[in-house]
Amino acid sequence: MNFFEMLLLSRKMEFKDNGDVTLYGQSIVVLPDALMVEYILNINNDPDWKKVMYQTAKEAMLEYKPNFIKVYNPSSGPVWVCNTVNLLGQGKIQYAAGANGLIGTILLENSPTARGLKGNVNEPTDHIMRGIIAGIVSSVLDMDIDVVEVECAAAGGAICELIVGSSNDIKNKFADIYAKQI
Amino acid sequence: MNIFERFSLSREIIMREGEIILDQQKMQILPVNFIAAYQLRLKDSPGKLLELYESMKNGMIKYSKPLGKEYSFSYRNFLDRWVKYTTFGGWGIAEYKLIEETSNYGFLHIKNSPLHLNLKAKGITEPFDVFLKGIIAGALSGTFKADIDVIETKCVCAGNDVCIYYWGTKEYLQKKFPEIVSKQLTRDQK
Repeated sequence: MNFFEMLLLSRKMEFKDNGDVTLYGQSIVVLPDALMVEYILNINNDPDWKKVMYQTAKEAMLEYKPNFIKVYNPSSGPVWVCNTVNLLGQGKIQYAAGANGLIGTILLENSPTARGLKGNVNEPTDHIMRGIIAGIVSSVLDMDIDVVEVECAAAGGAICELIVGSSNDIKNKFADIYAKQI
Repeated sequence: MNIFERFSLSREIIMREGEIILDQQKMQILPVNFIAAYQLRLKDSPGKLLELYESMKNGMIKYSKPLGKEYSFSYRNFLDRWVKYTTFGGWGIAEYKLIEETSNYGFLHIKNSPLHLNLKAKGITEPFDVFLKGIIAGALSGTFKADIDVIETKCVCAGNDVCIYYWGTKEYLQKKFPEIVSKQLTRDQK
């Protein structure tokens, strides 16, 4: 049984008869991945809106902090976060390294945004994914976490590489990228 | 059996790590509160709202073209399938009303839309959604190789029981709903 089937069975993901689809009690929508790719391509030259997209995704996940805390198991922290984010159809993530559990490096493979924008951009593009991870990890660790993308397959990288850390650490250690992305 | 179980059984949807495939096309999941909050951030920038609408429309045109070709949809088949996908996708319970057997105009009711209820809870009091308007416009335009636009004429945010998405060529909509078109489909929205 995969993680998705387990969620359905445990009713942590529900397709309700009233038209609401929920994941951990949070309403979600399903849409073709081509749509956000098209949009991100359109706003790619507008640096402010990349930041807005990131912050909005982070805040949206933080709204559901109580729901995440209820289902989060610290002993399987990185696995749970990866499994949850991997459900969203935004590529497959895995924690590559981390000095402190959830804080460290994430590798993102097969991101639809990176795939769709490859060759058209020269800056990282996974703003929604960064925001989602930042919001979930901030919720379960109860601290202000930020995520920057240091390498992106859309911009010529071999893979998408994201750094997860406390907001202060990210700001200090990745000042240039922080200024552009957060 | 709910609509997801029907899709799963008929293998129309496949969910695996990092990928969701519906009807052989890749999909993604986004939280409703993200979509609502993102639109609200654009509230005072009509040009940016229209840019979002056009991106959804153009993305959906690319998505829909191969579908129209592969399935040779009739208008009614398309709408039957469309309302199923809309409901499955968490956008609310969709029902269409045909005016005539042509893609040039028609409308869709959406009941219990979590997105609209979220917008209402955030203080919106008039039709405001941009995402689903663009998606419907692109689906119709791509499938039927026409330039179709969509406006929202009624909305639970404004106290109506359902949200109504009305589609047609821009000229048709302009003639029938000049004020709404001026508000929802122009860069200098009134």
